[in-house]
Amino acid sequence: MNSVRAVTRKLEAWQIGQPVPRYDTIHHAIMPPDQTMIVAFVRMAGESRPWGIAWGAAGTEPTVRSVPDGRVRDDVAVLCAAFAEDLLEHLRVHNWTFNPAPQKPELGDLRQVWLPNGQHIAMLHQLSYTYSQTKHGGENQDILRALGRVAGWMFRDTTRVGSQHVVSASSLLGDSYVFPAQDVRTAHLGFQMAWLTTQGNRDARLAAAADAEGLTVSPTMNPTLERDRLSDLVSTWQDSRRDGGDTHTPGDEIDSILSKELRRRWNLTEDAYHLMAANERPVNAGVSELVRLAHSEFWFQHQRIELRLNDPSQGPAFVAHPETDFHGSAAASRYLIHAAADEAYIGYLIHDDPALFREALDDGRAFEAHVLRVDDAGVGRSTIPRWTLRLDPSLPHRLRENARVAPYGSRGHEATIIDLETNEDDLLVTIEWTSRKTKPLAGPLMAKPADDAWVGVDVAFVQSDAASLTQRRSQRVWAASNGPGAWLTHGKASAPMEISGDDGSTDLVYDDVAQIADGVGV
Amino acid sequence: MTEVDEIRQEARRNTRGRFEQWAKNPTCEANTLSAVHNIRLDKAAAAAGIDASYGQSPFAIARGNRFEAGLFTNDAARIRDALQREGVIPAGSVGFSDLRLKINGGTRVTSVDEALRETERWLQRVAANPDSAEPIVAAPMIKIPKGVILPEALLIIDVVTVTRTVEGLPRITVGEIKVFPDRGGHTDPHQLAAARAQAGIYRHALDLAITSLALTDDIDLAPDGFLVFTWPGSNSPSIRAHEDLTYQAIRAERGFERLEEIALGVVRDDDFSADNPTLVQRVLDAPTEYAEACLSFCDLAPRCHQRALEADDPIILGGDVKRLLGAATIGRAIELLNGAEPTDDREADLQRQLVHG
Repeated sequence: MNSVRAVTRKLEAWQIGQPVPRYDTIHHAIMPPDQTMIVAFVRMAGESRPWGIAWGAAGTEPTVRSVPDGRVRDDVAVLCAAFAEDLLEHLRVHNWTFNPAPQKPELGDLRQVWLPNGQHIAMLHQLSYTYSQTKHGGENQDILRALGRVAGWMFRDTTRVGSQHVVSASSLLGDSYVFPAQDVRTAHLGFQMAWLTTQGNRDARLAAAADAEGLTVSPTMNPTLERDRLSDLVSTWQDSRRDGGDTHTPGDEIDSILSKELRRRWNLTEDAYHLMAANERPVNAGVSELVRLAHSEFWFQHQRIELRLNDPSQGPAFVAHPETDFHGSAAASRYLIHAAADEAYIGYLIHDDPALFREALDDGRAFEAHVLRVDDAGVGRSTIPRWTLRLDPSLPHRLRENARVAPYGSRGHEATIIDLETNEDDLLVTIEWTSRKTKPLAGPLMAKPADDAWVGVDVAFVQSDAASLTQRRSQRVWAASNGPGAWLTHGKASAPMEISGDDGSTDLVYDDVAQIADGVGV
Repeated sequence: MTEVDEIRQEARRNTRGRFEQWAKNPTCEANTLSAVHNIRLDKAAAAAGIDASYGQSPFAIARGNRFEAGLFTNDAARIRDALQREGVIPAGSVGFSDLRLKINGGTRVTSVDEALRETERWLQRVAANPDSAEPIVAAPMIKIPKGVILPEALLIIDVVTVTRTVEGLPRITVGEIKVFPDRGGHTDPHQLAAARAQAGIYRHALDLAITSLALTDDIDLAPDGFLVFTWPGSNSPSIRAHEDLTYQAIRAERGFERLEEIALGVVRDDDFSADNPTLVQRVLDAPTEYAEACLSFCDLAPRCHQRALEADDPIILGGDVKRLLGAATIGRAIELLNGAEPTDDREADLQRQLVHG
């Protein structure tokens, strides 16, 4: 949203005393409750592993579990293994369910995991670091590794524009509403929900939001709570464990405190889910394409790899390094996938969202034009429709020759700008139809591009994208060992990372280069 | 007077934190006074009847201490391995000098004065005899001279390495230790920025120390530094080598100068003889400049927010709204948005932007 429009919307929200919708549609899939798992973490300050986890389907009682001391690795591993069982089943991960997700599931088969905010999503990354190649865990080692792998994929996928499996409730609310408050405060899920759900006037909502803001939603809890209530209990529990005393009493008290913290985070996220599920705005029609892409990503980036890890005859597999792609080809390929997703995202949504279209108009990424002439540049039986358009030259635009545009509301149709001509009063643009040129446009006439009936009609266009081309490049880069940039995309192997534990044990974390190029198994 | 002396002592030690606090909103006089006089904002907030900030978790403090201590045990074996792996020091390097105070886990230095003397001797020794330099030095302590307004300051550098340039000069490289998990490209950018800024202050301070000892021709101070984070879920160090600190050191140098200049304008002559409650009150009475950034560090932010709310100041809707509306209140902007007649060109321009984008 451009800055002036954002300011105007904030003023409007302030005037009516409540958040206002940012767009006319919801830009994210919202699945039924039984396909929506809600997860919340708490962790001990300074630590990376969870101290407690709450998880469960929306509309049900969550499982809430914690350990007495978040620094005790073996206890945390048991906690995480229990969580992993349900998470892997929920996401239908191969080898951990009787009903694994196929390569091309129905659009309605999407399984989502909702978390309170980005800091909880970062916990998925921490789980990936901790478990994806762990040598510990005893009988739980396999499931912990599976948890590390799926958590790593979930985290990585959230960085892809338009991802659908993992939802940050706070980000989704921020994308869906404009709040009459400072941006830095509206990142807080409790603050957002208080603005959205409190009854009464602006003052009542403002007061409720300020109160809610005082309660942390992050996995790291309020230091006062840790200092005043938990610190002594943890010390007592540690002393009792060392001396063979009663560990149940302090352990239960710790669990009681952590459960309350976890439930509050989980409930807030569930409330956000219900608010979005019951939203009066429809989900954008373009989201179905995003879901299709999300299914494809899950299959190729996780499910197929799980299949191969369990059955090497299915093909080679490697476990992604939690830090980055060390293998040049893998990195280049993933970069292009993300670039394609970024290019395509607005294109999928804009045709079904007038507010998004207006925003694009303001930014010059869309334009409205009057059709002056319709020609056919085709030879023989071929049809190549050409339109000459007149635009208001005073309005912002980013037009250039060879740019590709699509008629607003008719995704799939595409034209290329072949000429730009300006005079004092007009900007004349000639476009040549290149895709679906013999199919009728969705509006406003429902006529084919070559139809003369378009003359004199006002038609809106949006920028088109080259996402499909970028997507193809992501596959070709693997084979481009002699092409330009091969020094970068076909690099050499690096050394494994050695991680020492406090108990003197050592883990070697192998990157993808070692696995792909050197055949190292993990 | 005892209390005033204690405050001064504390002020000497807390320079880095106060400088960073000031830099977050340098236009706020209350913030400047707080930084110059080392008046903690949570104490000022408490005096104003505002709930103080959360402080630090004991678990976080314990984790930090455990991590830092672990790096330097066994002749700094853990950090040495990591530094060698990342090429910060050559493979096979031996030697470790521990200048940490005993109360901070050191083995022999007992007082601040001794630490300052030891650091000075170490720099002179390294300059005179580069071969005698240990490749890893923990916690050298630097004193920044007193300014006109700012008190003299002590800075304890987490760790430095000593290597050799191709010309044979000893090269000192500054390191900053943080318990933050290093998650590669996903590492929290705010944590990274904070660590780099702090390393830049250290580099600036070390530069001052080397200059004051007239050792600039004998010691090469590396323009880059290294950050020591943790590998997530473990106490293994994760080294980020070759962090360019040039800009951060310049920022520190200019920042201290600017803080001194601003302090000259806002500090009263009798401030330095005032007791703590008086200084707290002066911070509370000083003019403020509320900004969105205040929410991240200032315990007085709720008070400023309430004042802005009562004044119908657009800052309560964010910095972007404040920048566009300028001196106009929220109420007036809404009137313009709803078609009110502008009273001047500025309002007419604002109305055009709000209505037409």
